[in-house]
Amino acid sequence: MTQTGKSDGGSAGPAVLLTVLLVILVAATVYVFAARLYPAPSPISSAAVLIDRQYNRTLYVAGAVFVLAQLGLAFAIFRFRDRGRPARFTRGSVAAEITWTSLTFLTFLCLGILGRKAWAEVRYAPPAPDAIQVEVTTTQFVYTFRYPGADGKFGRLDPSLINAPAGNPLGLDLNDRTGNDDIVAPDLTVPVSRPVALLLRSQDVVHNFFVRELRLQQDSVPGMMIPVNFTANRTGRYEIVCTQLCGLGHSKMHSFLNVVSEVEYEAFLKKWSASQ
Amino acid sequence: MVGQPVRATHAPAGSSKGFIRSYIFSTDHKVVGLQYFSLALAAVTFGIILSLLMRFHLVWPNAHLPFVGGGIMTPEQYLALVTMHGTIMVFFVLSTAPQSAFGNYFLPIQIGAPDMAFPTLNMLSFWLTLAAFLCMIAAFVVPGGAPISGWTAYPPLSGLGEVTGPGEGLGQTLWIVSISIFCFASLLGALNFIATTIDMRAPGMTLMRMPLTVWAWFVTSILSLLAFSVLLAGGILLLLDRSAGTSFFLPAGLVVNGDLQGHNGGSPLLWQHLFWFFGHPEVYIAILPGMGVVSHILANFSRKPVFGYRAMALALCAIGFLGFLVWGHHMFVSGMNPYSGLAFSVLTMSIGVPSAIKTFNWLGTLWGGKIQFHSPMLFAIGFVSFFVTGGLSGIFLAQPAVDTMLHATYYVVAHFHIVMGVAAVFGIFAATYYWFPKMFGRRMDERLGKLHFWLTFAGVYCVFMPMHFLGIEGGIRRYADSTGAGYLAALQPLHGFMTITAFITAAAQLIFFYNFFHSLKRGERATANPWNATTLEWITSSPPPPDNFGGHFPSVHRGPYEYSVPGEKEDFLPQNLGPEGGGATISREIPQRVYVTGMALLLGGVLMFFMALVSAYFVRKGFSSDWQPLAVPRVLWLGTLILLASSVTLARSRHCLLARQEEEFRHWWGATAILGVFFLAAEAIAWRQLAAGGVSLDGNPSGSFFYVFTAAHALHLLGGIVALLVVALRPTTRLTRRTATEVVSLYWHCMNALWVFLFMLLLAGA
Ligand code: HEM
Ligand SMILES: [Cu+2]
Ligand SMILES: [Cu+2]
Repeated sequence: MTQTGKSDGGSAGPAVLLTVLLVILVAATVYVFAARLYPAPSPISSAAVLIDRQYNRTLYVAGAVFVLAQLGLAFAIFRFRDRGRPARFTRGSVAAEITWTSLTFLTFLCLGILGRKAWAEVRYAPPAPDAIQVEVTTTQFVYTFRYPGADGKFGRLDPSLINAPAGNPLGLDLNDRTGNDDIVAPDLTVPVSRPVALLLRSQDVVHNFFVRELRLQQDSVPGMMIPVNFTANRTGRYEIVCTQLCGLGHSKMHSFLNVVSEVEYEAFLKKWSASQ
Repeated sequence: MVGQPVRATHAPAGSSKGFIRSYIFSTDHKVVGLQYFSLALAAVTFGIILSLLMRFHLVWPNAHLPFVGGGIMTPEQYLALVTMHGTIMVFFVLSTAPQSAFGNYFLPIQIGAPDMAFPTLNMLSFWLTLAAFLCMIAAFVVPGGAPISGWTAYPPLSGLGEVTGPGEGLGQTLWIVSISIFCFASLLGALNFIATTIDMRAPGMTLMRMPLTVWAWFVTSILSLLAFSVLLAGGILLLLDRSAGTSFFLPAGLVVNGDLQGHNGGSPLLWQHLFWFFGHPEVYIAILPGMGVVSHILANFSRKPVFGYRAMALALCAIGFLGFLVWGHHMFVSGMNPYSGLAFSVLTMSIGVPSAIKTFNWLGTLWGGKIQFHSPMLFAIGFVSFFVTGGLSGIFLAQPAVDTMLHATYYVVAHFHIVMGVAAVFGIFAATYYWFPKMFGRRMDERLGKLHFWLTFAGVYCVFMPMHFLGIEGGIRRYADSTGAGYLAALQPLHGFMTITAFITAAAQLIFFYNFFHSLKRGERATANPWNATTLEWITSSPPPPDNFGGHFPSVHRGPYEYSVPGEKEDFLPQNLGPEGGGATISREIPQRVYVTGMALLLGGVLMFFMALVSAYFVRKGFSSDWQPLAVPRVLWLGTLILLASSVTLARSRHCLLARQEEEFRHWWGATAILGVFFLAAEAIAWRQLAAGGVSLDGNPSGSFFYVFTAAHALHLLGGIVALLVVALRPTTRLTRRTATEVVSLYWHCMNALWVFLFMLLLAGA
């Protein structure tokens, strides 16, 4: 009694169909990526370019493994379907195990090492000394951006003074002189190709600051001041969105990053400082 | 005589014990397994309906929906669906079906045991899990509705009550309570599984002869024991923040909706660390049993031994171990130190190695086989395909730089659905089709099973592959409004495609339900071993008798996957096939040492729980500026001495018992209980003194921790006192008095040691 059950388990039909499905899966996936049907938007900073490079490297490696593994699976299924011949008995092979374990290990190691640079660029590098300081405050469900003004210093904040309807969403302490020239705006406007040092803080729950063209995503956490730096090198208007679930208005929480020329930037500062 | 079925020698369970004891409050592991299975089936149906509502809303946001109060779905209703869908699927489906349902049913049989080590505890675990489920569902009908903070429940959103949004009141409280009950039930279940595997194996069933399913359930149980106790600790702290006004996770100066909240100095990231320390092992709790099942089935239907059995078992252990070191990969952009991000990244990549071993060995098992495409085999092959696909997207997310662009997008949703959701569900389907004949004595319809597979396999890829593309373009998850950001409008066609295929895929599941229920009644009768398989569940009748083997317990003579061994007549050799041909049969009883093992495991869980609290203490103390030292009341020194004395009296008592001095034994035993009560009294005095001195639970964190530590320990000690009394007053039956005293002593001494540790910690913080 070497043969199992009814013939439906061993027929060629399922083997062919499954093989076809796997081949379609591989072909369709490769096509979407190779034809760049859904590309990420083009990057606007050198850090974003580094991240893209690492992403692409990973895509090649993962893509190759994906194709080989799925096609290997398809091949095995098709080739070794039950055709009445007995199975080839083996319990395994230590040599094979060692080979593929070390190959995987080396691949991951290389990817990891190559990827460090992009991470370091975004996260470790201290801000340039001439970086433009902007403080980002998140609240359910708005962003508020504060520039230190001419004195280069942020004024004191006091949570008990927060009163958005009365025009003080940040709780600026008006007795503190350094705060008198602070500029508060609903959008983030920065000059092109100048380093920007953001300081993220949150008033209520955890929010996030995400600009996909910068490939930059960072949570803003109440009780913490989180620095992130970037230099945008192409002018334009880019969407800032909150990616951290923050309440019922989560999907309405967004703002804009305006990357403008130096001249426009000066005009922006003048306009907003006059209005406050 | 190979593999000849052992006939059930006992009458069906129903006849002697009555319906209630046999099917409802049954302690039979098979009944408990089926109860878990039914619960998971109900939960998955519910969860799928919730997801279809979400998918519908994303494409037709303005349509009137019959289930939704008010007709058009509001954002908070959408987020409630996201939260409840995720929670139900992760906890009540993926942590329940593969492990608690199939593990319960088959682990004892596969190791040749008559039942779990602790049958009553097993029943209790199920009923607690059911209670947790009802508690979770209740969140839908309370004022404010279900919580909206996702299955990750990050504070402050989840920690402040209604101010942060609808559903964050009673709904969120019920969520936390439900999860805490679930954690507790899972701890008890895990302890039972581990003790069973360690102490109840048939003669000859060495570790390296255990089926890979048993290995997988075993490793998963260890993960459950360690991970759920941490979540339990986190859940309790979160509950205190919400309802007792403490500030473990809530910082100072929070202003919600214009209102200043009165918390101080807590750390939202602390919750994230505790949550993900549980959360990452949790994804392995969901997937490891599936890996075991798939290895098992691939070998059976390739008619070959598992390729590299030893490597497969070791890889399971390695994944389980590494799983505890990688939680930070969920927090690359959370504000965590970037250097820790790098460390977590390296550790995460290293988990790819054992995962790759598993995949290669599955291919190796198929290679050169004689592959038979029964429905369980198709689902097992599907699992491999999904595991590869989902694992590879993980390599992107494991690199912090790349994760900065993909985090919290649909890319992540695609990743975890494919690798954890779909793969695990395919594991469940494979197990169901495979073991259905054993569980119910009938076979499922093969043609419907295959149809179900084709539609589901193709459908699921259609639903979840496009989510990658959506994510790469910046499509954000947990978004009630799929065009919420301007650039998202262009991606709406993708959403449409996914919604339509999701409905088709969901409809295909009706085939499964029909096949399942129809076959229960009408299916073709199954023989004992319909798949010509080798492991012990197939040497007994279908379904197995109440004691699993009808009094003929097997002993084991060979490994689990002896298929197509050259020179043998049959292409499968059952594990109980001895040198003389047949399997030896001897009677089995539950050995006394399971109680000691069980207690040691319980202590492991308790210790993990306290370690979670202690690490919270260090984080909270180290990273905040509001910490004020607390003067520990003097009376606790006295309490500590009393407790140390109680260890001495207990040791004395045990000594007398062993020397057969019954009278002395009773005296010393009673003295121990009384000293325990004195300790609690000292503690009560300490609390009163502190309270009088103005130290309150919701005041400075040093006080909060003082109360939490002492109360948690007091509760455990109270349990110890009850155990002492039970042993003293009730003649024990299954467990001998000798073992009972040993077990209770072990517990008592450990609680005392724990106290000394906590006390020193509190003193050091003063
Ligand atoms: C018919 C099949 C399914 C569909 C159509 C579906 C769809 C969805 C959708 C639309 C979301 C919300 C995404 C977002 O806005 O962030 C989601 C979230 C989620 N799903 Fe599913 N899902 C399905 C099956 C499953 C299964 C089997 C699991 C089991 C693991 C699962 C686990 C989750 C989890 C954990 C979340 C995240 C919830 C959260 O963010 O708190 N889903 N799913
Ligand atoms: Cu937000
Ligand atoms: Cu993880």
